[in-house]
Amino acid sequence: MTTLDNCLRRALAVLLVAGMSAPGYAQTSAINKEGVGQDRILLGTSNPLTGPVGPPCKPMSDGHLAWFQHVNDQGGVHGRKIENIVLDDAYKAPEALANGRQLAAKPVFAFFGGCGTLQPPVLMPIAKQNKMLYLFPSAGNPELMTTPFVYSLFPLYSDQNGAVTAATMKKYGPGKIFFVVADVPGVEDNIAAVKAATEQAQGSYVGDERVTQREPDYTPLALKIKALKPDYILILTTAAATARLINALVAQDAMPTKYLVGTLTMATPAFLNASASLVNDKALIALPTVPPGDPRAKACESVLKKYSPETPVDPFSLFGCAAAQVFAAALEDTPEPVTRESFQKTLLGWKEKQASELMPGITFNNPRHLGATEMVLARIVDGKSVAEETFPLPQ
Amino acid sequence: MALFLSAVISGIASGVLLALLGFGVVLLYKATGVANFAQGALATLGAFICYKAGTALGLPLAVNIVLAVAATMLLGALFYWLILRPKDDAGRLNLVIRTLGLQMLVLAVIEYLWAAGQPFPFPKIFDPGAAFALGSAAVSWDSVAIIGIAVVLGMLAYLVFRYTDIGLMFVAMSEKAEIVQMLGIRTRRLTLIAWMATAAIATVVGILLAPQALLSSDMMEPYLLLAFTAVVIGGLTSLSGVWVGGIVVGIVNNVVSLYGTSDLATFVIFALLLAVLSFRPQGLFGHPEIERL
Repeated sequence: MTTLDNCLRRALAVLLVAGMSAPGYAQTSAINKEGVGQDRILLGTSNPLTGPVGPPCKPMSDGHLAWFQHVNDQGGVHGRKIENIVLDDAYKAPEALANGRQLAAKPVFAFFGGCGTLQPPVLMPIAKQNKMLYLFPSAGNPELMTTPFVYSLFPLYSDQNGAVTAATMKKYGPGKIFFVVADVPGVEDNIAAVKAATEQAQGSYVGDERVTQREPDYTPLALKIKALKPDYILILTTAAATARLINALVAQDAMPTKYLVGTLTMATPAFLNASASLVNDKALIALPTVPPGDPRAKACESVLKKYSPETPVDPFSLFGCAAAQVFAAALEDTPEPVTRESFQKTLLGWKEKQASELMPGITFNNPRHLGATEMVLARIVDGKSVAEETFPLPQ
Repeated sequence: MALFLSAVISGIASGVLLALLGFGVVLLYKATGVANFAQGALATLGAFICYKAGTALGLPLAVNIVLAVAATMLLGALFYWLILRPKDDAGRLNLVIRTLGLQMLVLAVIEYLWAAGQPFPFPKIFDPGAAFALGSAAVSWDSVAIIGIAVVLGMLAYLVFRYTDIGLMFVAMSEKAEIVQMLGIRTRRLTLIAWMATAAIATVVGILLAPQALLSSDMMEPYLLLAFTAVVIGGLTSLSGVWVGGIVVGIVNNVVSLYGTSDLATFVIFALLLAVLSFRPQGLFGHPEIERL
């Protein structure tokens, strides 16, 4: 059924794109070889809309689409509408490859967004071959930060974890920290970053556990943690696994003396529905944007409600919306003629640019193209994540 | 020592759940000669039905549990009639593959109908806190209750198979199906009942696991291979051996995870599985199958 669904989605996407490209499609002009036309600019996204990571990833591209629709309804950017073609890759490399080739053949101005570490190794060679840009993917691949044609807004998990460890210990005092980390590529970098940040904050790194998505019982880990009596437990795994771990920590009376610390999966509705009551006022989260419900998220929330009412307002859809806002702001700042080169010059010229209300100021430095310089530290209170302050990321 | 004891007790609790899941597999195998790979999917289905009954009808949890067990028993019968019953003389491999197909079908339907927004918090059946403490280690109410429920179900199964007509007919059918048929016993009706019973047991397992594992279409994945390991260690033909197998797997998993890592625990469990398959293929309590050549 999933394969059939994918085929139908792809067929519809192809028909839509084909229809839009047909001579009878009167509302749009031709595009040049960089995907830019007189009254439109094309972006291409390969994103898991279905499959195992579909539920968190689809809201991200829904966020792009909603904001672009809003911009287009206001007349576009300098009269140019932003068309974002989103294709489903179901988090499968062959599908992402096919999508990448199809999008490059349009051609699109850039690969835009996408969620997960699987697509970048597939899309980067296509982007390089076609001299395209690859803008704002949400992935944990270190090479994304140093490749000249890639620009990121989403920090590496190792940077996030190191920075949130430092920020937490600075604000709430140094202490003993235990790290529960998903056993995925990059795990060593994550552990090294947290150890270094703990040492710098004069805390004590008491241990770590690498977990998979298929742990049958978190009780042994909870017992192990309880024996170490940490002040902080840093968690980097999926929402479901985090919720299951917290169930075991509560059952074993093994919660940390100060805080549970986590990343954006702990701000998802899936996690909050399952565990918010167990971690009330006991959990801190590092977020790339302000959390849902924050006054600064109002514009994106109302746009999502208007153009994509079925999309949940969560950290993923807000991040997608923020990425679209940043693209629109960069397009606005780019002088005519808009080219991939002039667009890059705009991004590299930004210094603390307030391109999205949802994010702290954006600066892209060479050679490390990470625009985000800070993240938001939020606390879970009464079932919601509430922004406390921002903290700096390593540059 | 207290930590060790707590790991052993929580291991027994999770092992008993694995055994319960495996018990359904053994029951059906004894009745039909088919290893049911859809057992985990039936457990997931039962837990989803219970959850959806609660959210849609707003009934108390106990009523939802009864509804879910009844519904999955009916679905178990339906699956038998639609999927296993036609051409049921096609050979064991054919039937086993049908159960694999059934598993994928059930999970695909759950994904299609109910997966959006998962995982879902499942209502707590027991107090999430500690029932009592062993030194500094807590033994949760979940662990105590799961062990209690499994003991009751195990005793019930023992009494049924030992003292009731239908239980004795099952035992007879598992030993000599052809002779039972010649005696005029309707073996297909017995098989139908076995499917209903196994669906009910799966639902109980799903409902017991869902509060800890959170309700999702893949919530049984971590348990399935371990449950089949318990079945193989105990013996595919032994209704009592699966309990020993489950408890061994549960304790080994939790103790090795506590003092080592979960990866090491997985390694030890599957090494044990391979050792049993290599040196005692019928399992610790199973009977070797003898075929006339």
